Amino acid sequence: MNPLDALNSLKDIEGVYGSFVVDSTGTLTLRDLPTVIDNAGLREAGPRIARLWAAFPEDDPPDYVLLEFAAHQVFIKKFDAGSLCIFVPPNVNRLALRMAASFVARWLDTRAPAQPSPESEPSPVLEPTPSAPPTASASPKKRTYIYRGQRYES
Amino acid sequence: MQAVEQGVPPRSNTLGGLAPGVLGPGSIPGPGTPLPPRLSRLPPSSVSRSEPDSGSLTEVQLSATGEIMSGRGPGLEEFSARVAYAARLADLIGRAIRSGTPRALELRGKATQTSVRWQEDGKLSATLDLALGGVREQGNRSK
Repeated sequence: MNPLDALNSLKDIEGVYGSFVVDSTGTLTLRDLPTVIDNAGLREAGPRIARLWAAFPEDDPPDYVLLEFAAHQVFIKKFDAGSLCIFVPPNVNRLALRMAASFVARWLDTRAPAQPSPESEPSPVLEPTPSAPPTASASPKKRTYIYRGQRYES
Repeated sequence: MQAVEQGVPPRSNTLGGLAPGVLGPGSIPGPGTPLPPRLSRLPPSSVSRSEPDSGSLTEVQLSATGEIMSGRGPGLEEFSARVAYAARLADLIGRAIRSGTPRALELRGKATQTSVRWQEDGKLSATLDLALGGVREQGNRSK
């Protein structure tokens, strides 16, 4: 399973729009979201998400944060190497979502880049194709990746 | 007479049967006699977990400028500071992802749960509770 497959597995939970991952400093490392949400916004949000965990009591390890907006919610699951952020509708099955998020977070922890090697490198951020309409993300013909400042296409 | 006797259900110790000694009014069940279900002490059901608990550990209401308007509970100052900080970060996250101002924020730890709600006038109300199971969680969602 590759990182995008892991994020995609979250869509087994009914209603999940997509997800992204930031590392412990808030740097965007992975995304599986519709193109209407651009990377610039996620990169701006990333460091704030990483700092959210400081709002927990020192003697109580954080589990997750749920941000509720008018039309959707963002479920943020902490794991050792960062934060997994999932866009969900208000009526999502929270228990199932928590389980799925825990599973993916554990999987991401096993791939934490503690010792850099080709297999354990952080996964690339999928850059949304600007020309693609929002509904076309389900079957993209070409994918553009940005990884460590370099643009790749597959 | 025979027809009446045929209509009497057989006695048994199964759930639907009645034990000897509980048929007549005022009769006292013998030792070891199982009580009918309506008299049995049932273990607490999961439904009771969704009922509101006795109260939050700490509650606070903050003004839009971060002043404590009202509050109670231990660690009020520290809790208020954490709420104000988390709410500000949540505001900024909402702007960054173009989702607008949050309506609520929940910070769930292993032992505690902080719930923050934005009010129309910019005030924040927040509570600190002990973290319970998922049933409680769904109860909060219905508020």
